[in-house]
Parts: sequence; C-alpha cells; structure tokens
Amino acid sequence: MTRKQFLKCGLTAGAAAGGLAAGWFGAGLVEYMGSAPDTPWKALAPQEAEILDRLAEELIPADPPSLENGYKGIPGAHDAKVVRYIDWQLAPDAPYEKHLLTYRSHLAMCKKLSAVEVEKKFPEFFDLLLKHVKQGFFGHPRHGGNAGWASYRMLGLAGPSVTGRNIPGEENHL
Amino acid sequence: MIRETVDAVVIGSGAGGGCAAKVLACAGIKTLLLERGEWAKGDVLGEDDLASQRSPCLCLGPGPGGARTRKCHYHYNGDFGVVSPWNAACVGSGTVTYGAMAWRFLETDFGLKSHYGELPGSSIEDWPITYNDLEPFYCQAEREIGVSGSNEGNPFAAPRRRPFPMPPFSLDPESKLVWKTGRKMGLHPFYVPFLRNSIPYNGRPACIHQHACVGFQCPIDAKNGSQNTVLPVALASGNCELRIRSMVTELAVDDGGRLTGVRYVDENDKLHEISAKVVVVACGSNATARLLMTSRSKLFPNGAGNNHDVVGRNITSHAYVSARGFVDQELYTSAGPGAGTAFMDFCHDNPGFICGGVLHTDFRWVPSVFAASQWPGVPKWGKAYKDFVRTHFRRMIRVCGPHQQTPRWENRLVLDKSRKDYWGLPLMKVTGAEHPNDAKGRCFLSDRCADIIRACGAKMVVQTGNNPKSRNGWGHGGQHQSGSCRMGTDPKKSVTDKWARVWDFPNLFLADGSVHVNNGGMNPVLTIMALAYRTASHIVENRKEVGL
Repeated sequence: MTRKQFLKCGLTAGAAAGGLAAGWFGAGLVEYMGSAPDTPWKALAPQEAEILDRLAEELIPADPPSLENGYKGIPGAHDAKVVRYIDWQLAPDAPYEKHLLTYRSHLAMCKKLSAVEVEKKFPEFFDLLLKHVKQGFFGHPRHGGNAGWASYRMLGLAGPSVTGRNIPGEENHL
Repeated sequence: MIRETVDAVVIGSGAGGGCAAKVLACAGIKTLLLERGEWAKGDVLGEDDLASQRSPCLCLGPGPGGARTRKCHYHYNGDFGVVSPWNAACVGSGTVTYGAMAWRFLETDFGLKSHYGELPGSSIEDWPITYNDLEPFYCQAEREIGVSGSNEGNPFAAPRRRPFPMPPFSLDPESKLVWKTGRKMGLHPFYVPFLRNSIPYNGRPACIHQHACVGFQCPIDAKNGSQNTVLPVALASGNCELRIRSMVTELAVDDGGRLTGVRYVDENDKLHEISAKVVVVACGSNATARLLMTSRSKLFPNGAGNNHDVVGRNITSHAYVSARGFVDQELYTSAGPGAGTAFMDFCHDNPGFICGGVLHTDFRWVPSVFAASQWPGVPKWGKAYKDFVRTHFRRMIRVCGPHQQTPRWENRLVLDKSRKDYWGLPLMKVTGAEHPNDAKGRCFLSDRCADIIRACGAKMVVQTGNNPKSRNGWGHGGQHQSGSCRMGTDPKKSVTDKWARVWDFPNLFLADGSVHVNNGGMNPVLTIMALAYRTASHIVENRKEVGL
C-alpha cells in the first residue's frame, strides 16, 4: 500500500465513522425531542395512529429479509417512523394542523380498508396521505420521520453530510 | 412616532439593496438600511430539506412566513391561485439561499426592439442603456461579491474587460456527460458561472460541494450573497446602520410632491418617521411596485411616480422548461450541487419566435423532491414504487432553462384592497396572460432539453413547459420577478430614467429587478447587482443634484 492509498483509506473510514456517529446522534436527538413514551402521539388518538401506520406501511413497505440483502433490508414506513412525522405536523401550531380534521374523519372510515380501497374511495385524502408519507420517509429526520436515515441509506447518500467531506469525484456515503 | 434624520435610506438588504448600501456608505453618506426580515439562522435550519426555499413542505427556511413576513402578492389565474413565495425575507434576502448562477445578460437583451422589431401584443422595448454601459459594473459585482466561471468555448457570451475572478467549478458525472454529448451535437458547452467560491476568496473558504445548496444557506459561507460580502463592508465603514424586523410601509411625499423620507414599523409595531435626502427602494420587483402604489399623496393620488399608470405594468419572469430521464449508468455523486454545464446556443435568433434562454444541467434534487416527482408508467406507491426510487435516483439526468418572457403592458400587478397583510397594506394580484410568442419559445426550448438528454442515452424522458396551452410559468410572482417599474426614456411609458431614478423625484431611486425592461434568458441576480452598483455610483457622483 502506498502512502497515498493509506491516507485515502483512513480518510474514507474516518468519514464513514463520522457519518455513522452523527447519524446515531441525530436519531437520538429525535428520540429525545419526541413525547414521553406513555403518550406517544401529539395529535392523533392511538387507534388513529394504528390505522395510519398500517396504511403507511402499505404505501412504503419494508424490504422482505433475504439472503440477497444480508437480512438487512431497508425499513418501510413503520420502522422509519413516518406516523411520528405526520403526527408531529398535525399537532397544534404545527404546519399541518389544518389537516387534522381531515385525517380524523377519514381514518375513522379507513379502519377496515386497504390502501387500494382508500385510494378508490377517498382519492383526495389518499393523495394528501401519500404526499405526507413520502415526506416522512424521504425528508429530514429532525421532523420525526426517516428514522435512522432509512431512505438516505437506501439511496446511498451521505446523511447527515459531514461538512468538508464531500470531495468531487469521490463517493463517501454511509 | 419616533422621528430621525439620515442622509440616505435603502429599503431591502437583498442583491440590489446590499450593493447600493455598500457604495453609499463607503462614499461617506450616512445610510440607514431597513430590512423586514432578520439574520438567517443557517445553524438552525441546516440541510433541512422539508423547510428549504427549494422544497418548502413545512415552512420556507428564512421566510417569508409567519405574520410579519408573509408574502405580499398572489397569482390571479381565474381562481386566485397562490404563488409560492420563494423569495426570502432575511438579511441578504434571496442571496442567502439562491443557486447563485451569475449570468451577465447578452448584448441583444438590452435592445430587443432594435433586434427583433415590433412584436404585436407585446411591450418589448430597448433599454435606455447598453451592455457596454453596464459592463464595468458587472465587473465590479463579479469582483466584490465573487464569481467563478469561464467563457471558454462559449461564442455567444458578451465581451468582458476582465476575466472571471475565480476559475470555474469542476464538473460532476452528469455535467460531464451533457458537455461531451452537447459538443457532439454541435452545441457549445461551457461552465455555469456562480456567485460561489471555487477557491478561497475574500477571506472565506472554497465550496465544499454540499448536495443541498440551492434553497439552503451555505454552512461554511462559501456562497456569496449580500449578507457576507457587501453588507459587512458597508457596516464596517461606520456609515451604515442596518435595522432588521423593520417594515417600510410608506414613502413620505409632502403636499408639494417632494419625497421627504420613509415611514416604517419596527418589531414592536412602533411607527418611525425617517427624514432622508435620498431613498433607494430595493424590495424586489413585486414589493417595490406595491410600496410605490401604496404611497399616495396629494400630487400622486395613485402612488409615488404613478401618475401615468405605469407602476406595476410590463412584469416579466421566466418560463422554466426542463427534460428529465434516466441513463443506464449512475451519475449521482455526493459532491453537489450539480448544474455545471450550460449552453447559450438558444438564447436568441431561434426559428419562429423571439428570445429564448440558456440551457443547463440542474441542481441536485434532494430525495424528498425526487420522491414526489411523477413518472409515467411508474406506480405511485408500494413495493414497486420503492424499488423504482432505489434503482433510479442515482441515474437521473436533467437539463433545464428559463425562457425569457415577453413583457406586455397588460401583464401587471394590481392592489387588492380586499386582502390585507399584517400591517393593513393591500396584497398584490398578478394579472395578465402569456404572450403567444412564449408558448412557442418554451415548447422549442423544452424539446431541445429533451434532444440533449436523449442523445446522452436517457430513457423515460419527461418534459415540462412544453404544453402550448398550459400557463406554465406565466406571471411567476415568486422567483425572478422583474419589470414592474421599467426604466426608459419616455416618462409616460416608463417609471424611471436610465439611472433608475423615478421620474418626478430627484431623490428616489430603485435598485432591484423592477427596473429591468426585459429579464434576459438567464437568472437575473448579477444584473440586479450591477445596476445597483451603477445607480448608487451615480448618486455618489451627483450628490448635489440629488440633494445630498
């Protein structure tokens, strides 16, 4: 190994470790910012959250564990805590407070419906739901979703990016 | 009411206001700079892709937002749609979060009427100044604020007296592919110029290639805006005071028709009356027109400088077009922000329509934006959707560009007295219609984008801006807005003279996109900066005439 190769190796490992550490710290911070465990939801009732969680997981399902992905597939909406994202945004004074009643009235009617049926029966609500689920899965974890940077890991992105470590022509994602 | 006296007031600390304040203050003129927003909190927002100016799902980064910096205009398209208020409300305004493309307009852009002749149904006109008049100030803006780039290989660029202060950025795989392919097609690829440091410059570091750049504040201050270049210089001169959270509600014009100063409201809703010898309005094309219109007085019952009903007319923006698709190989790298390669082959003299625009590879899409995009034949959800995102995100290729919109007398901002903002001032309606020329122009440009990426091997190509019947991009009040107070030679058909001085007032100047006669086929910010430098230098050189 030449000196240059050695340095490069070290830099990559360092960047990866730094990214991982920051990712864990970020996830921890998000956990910390959440509500107390016995009242997990800020806006939704527990049964509403349950229905929402089931629908969200249908929209973005977890990868089935397989030999191919080393039994480490990318989580779906449930494990990425997409419902937590939506719940936080529906809370009083949060950006989607105005949608809370829409969620409330529709979720009550979605108890026994699959995502396909919801899409057919309540197309407008479904579009809103799908938009929010995608935001919760692909958006920044600080808002409650994308737990553990699930979607960033799926796309092979640096997340959170470590300032000063993005080198043109070099890949340095997690 | 709190009364004070200063030499000059500059309203707005964005691209134009920053340059104007710097020139005035450094010439020893006591200048008060009023800004409705506050210092942007990049350390709080970070790379939050749900709150950026580019993807404002939850809020708009540094604003506008909240009661005090709410947008002041909305789009009238028959059913009162709302314009996304992309322009920021903070110190530095849009220059904090912009993509920072640093284009000079082309020589032809300053004389559309001479070049193309009359275009029925339009209000195209020659500027009262030429490219050569503005060239020294383009140089000054590039040097003082900091621009990287190169015109090597671009035969269409206007001549320049000085080279770019910084070398161009290196290309990412997407821009490299588009560069190579474009050249094979007979086009003329070159580097997009940026107000971003390719090397350490002016005491701040070189760019670190964040993937989240456009729409975000730079975490290391390598993106150059008013807030980290001209404003610190202005403040350090000791002659400029910056007041944030200060909303100017009125230009004070007395019964004799003289401009005596401004009135503004501070963060505690206290009214201040400032006596000033010179006022420079730099609120952006929409808000500047609104301020003029709401400043009514005995001799100007329809607002300052508006006795010929020209204020708010001839507004233009850009009709953005694009083509996106997927190639077989991965193009994505973590090193952003993209948008490296450009072509000026279609800016002017295209077949069947006037004007056109620059085409370029585009800034990276953050994952949440990609996830929300629509692709024909692709399921919108479920396992197939997730697999699609996973396998395609890193293979996307995009080329896009702004078609230079045709100004029309009828395309205008009007006050809507039925809707008020926090201070009780009426909101603006954006009214009018797209000129038929622009439907042809954007369809043509969109097809060229598609040609380029198809030649790169792209499949599943999706175009935007190519529906002749849609109102794509027309009257965009939220980005690149300009022209509401155009400069000219005839006081009945323009709002300002060639120095951006409002007719009827010896001491009222505008320093933003509002004075543009047309908006170029490229991002307008460097032109706004150059014009502000020129106007402020004129004020300094003619102190006595303007009353200083």
